[in-house]
Amino acid sequence: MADILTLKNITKTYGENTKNPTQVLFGIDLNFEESSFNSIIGQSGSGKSTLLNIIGSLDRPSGGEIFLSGKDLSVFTNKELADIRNQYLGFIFQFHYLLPEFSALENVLMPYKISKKELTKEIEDRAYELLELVDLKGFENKLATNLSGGQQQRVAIARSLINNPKIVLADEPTGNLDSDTTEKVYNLLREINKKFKTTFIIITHDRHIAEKTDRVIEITDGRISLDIKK
Amino acid sequence: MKLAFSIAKRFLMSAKRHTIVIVFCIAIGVSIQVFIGLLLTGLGNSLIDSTIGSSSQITITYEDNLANYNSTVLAVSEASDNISVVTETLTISGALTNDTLTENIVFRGFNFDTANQIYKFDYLIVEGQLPTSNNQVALGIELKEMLDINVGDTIVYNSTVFGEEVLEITGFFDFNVLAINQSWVITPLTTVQDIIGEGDQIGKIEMQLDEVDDDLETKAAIVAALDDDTLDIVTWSEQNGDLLSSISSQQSSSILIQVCVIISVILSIVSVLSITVLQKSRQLSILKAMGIQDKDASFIFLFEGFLLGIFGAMLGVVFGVGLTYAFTTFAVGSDGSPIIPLTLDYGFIALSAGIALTASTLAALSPAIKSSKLSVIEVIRNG
Amino acid sequence: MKNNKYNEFLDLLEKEDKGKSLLFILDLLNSGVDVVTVYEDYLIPSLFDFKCLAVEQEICIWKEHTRTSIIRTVLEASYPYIIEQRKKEIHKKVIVLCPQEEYHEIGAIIASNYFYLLGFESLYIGANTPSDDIVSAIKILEPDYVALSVSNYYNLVVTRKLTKKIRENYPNLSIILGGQAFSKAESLEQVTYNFYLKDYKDMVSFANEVRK
Repeated sequence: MADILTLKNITKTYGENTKNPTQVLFGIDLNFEESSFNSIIGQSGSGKSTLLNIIGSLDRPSGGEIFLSGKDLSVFTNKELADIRNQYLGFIFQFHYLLPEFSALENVLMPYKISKKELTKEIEDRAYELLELVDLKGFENKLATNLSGGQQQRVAIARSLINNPKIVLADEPTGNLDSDTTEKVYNLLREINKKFKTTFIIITHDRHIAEKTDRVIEITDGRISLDIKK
Repeated sequence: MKLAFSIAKRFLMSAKRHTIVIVFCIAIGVSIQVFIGLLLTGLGNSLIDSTIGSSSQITITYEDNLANYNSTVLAVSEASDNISVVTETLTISGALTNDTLTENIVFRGFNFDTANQIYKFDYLIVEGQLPTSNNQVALGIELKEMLDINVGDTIVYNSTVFGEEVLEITGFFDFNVLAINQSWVITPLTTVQDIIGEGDQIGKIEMQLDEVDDDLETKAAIVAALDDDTLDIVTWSEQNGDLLSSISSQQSSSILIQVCVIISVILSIVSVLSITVLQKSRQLSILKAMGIQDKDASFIFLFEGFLLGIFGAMLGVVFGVGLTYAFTTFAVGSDGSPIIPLTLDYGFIALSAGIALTASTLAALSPAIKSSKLSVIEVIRNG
Repeated sequence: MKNNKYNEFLDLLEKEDKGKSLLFILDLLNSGVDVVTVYEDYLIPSLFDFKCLAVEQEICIWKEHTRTSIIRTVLEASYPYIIEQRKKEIHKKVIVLCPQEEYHEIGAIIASNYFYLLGFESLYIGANTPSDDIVSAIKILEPDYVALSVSNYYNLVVTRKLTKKIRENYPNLSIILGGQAFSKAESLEQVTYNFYLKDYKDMVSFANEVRK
């Protein structure tokens, strides 16, 4: 499989122009294959989230290059990066981060609306399908705040998929879920990976999740300490 | 834009109570601005009105009296559009004698048809009625006690120049000015003309203006119309320099007060909206992670400010007008008229609403710009 | 001939018949088949040969556990034959273990039995062994080799840390690795070790090397 994402010598220093700059990433080189299912592990403060945020163009690296499907993201403007996030990437966060003012269906459709394309019957059907996929049929019009934690996380998963992203980035997607729900969410991600060939990069400290992924990358003190494949 | 608007609308709708509170905050600010503005304007107008409203605003005085005055009066009234009323008067001095009592008086002959419009004698009569024919008079209320007389009595006018004349008392008036109440005796113009005995003549032409501030321009127009630069012609502002400066200082203090009110309204709108933006920083981060453009993110808050401004201004105008109405209805003097007569100046109300709307939108600007620079990661990492 | 025999054994295992499975192997050993053959041709292949009846699941965990339990009993029962067939003593001590969170211990038990068979002084100290306990075991037992058996590839995370720790504390102690987790060369590269022994053949060469 071809690489969908390539990181070359990525470094990140916080507070570069202050007295006490803190370097959190030291020359990260990584390739991710298309439709692979990867996990990143590491202790808190190891730099794994910073790395994921840089991959997700939520943060810019201090040095190095990122290539997404061969395109060098380091030369992109903020506006172009916003488009990349909208079109190529899906995000799932630990605290699910739904918009509490909107219903499950509206939340799922939000990334599509942000892309400013005309709302069509097809895309609405797709939103309904995705909610069905995450086992939330019948909850479409419930406000996000009226859903349980696990349901909200599944809405977030459906939302991350609405624009058919190439890569889904998940930061502790099961971090605040009980073990049964964790298992369900994991199985769901796996199913999506197989069905849509979506590449997954998942930060987790849950070994039950990590040991089921096809590749485990361990980050220690801002460096890759281990990179193993099944 | 459409997306930003619909998100702004939803943000406001989903926090209804909070939204209502903000709208009320803005509305109260606007209503205070409207009310105080109208009050101060009303106060200024009322001061001018009470001081010069019932007196001659431009007076032409003929030292030697003027005969055949009809054409001159006509010419004056046509000299300028600003002149609302012109009336001719003739005044002599003398004394009134009632058996034992004698009082010096100013004996003024009026053409009541027009003079009433300036002096409003109709309203000032507190007893009896205005004189209607020759040798009938009405007296200042103070003279009633001073001379111990009543309506229907007769009294004798005498003067070293014009001799004696018996007059019939038809009523008493109250000008609310002691000097006038103690000295004025009013009568139809012909009474005074007959006492003088030199035919139809007048001593003064008095007039009132639509725009009192334009008195000097009107004076110039009269001089031009009569083509006579030897005229003794005096306007209210020439006569009342002190009054004029007090009115203009009152007006500038009223502007200062309004500016202070506007600033406090703007500041409260800004602070309330900044908090709103702060509360939505989490939602903003989510939207940014999903790829919303910075520009659209900023528009969400501009629209929020705009919508809050619109409803706040509308409600504020309703409150302000209501307050003004209540004030004019309930805060009234003994005669049933408002202590300070207020008029609804629609231009001013629109201006106040416009200022509030602009302020709300601009108030949302700086938090909106700040929010567009917000770091997504910080919010996401901190839950 | 061997294939038929193996299928016979597998049939017994499929039926979860512990007693008959054990007797089957003991019969083989008593009839003169050597321990290594029994291990290599019967026991080890049977650990990977699953027919899962519950179609809806990819692996039946309970079946795997039952199979493991039977094989463990067979392994224990085979120990007299290990002693009997043991090669000349090497006078080197090996401790065999699975790192923390690694519960698949059959491989480690087989390796430990093989080491003993090949003449090493061998001690299996258990599955899921906490790293600190491993270090203290090394301190007390003073082995010449520590052998780590890792099946689940995720346990390379803890294995990497463990081997680093052992190397730091006992720079002269040789580390031997084995197990499915190391089947990818790039995975192996990232762990500190001296010897990687994939199978019995590797162990024999290693023993010969040590004897020299």
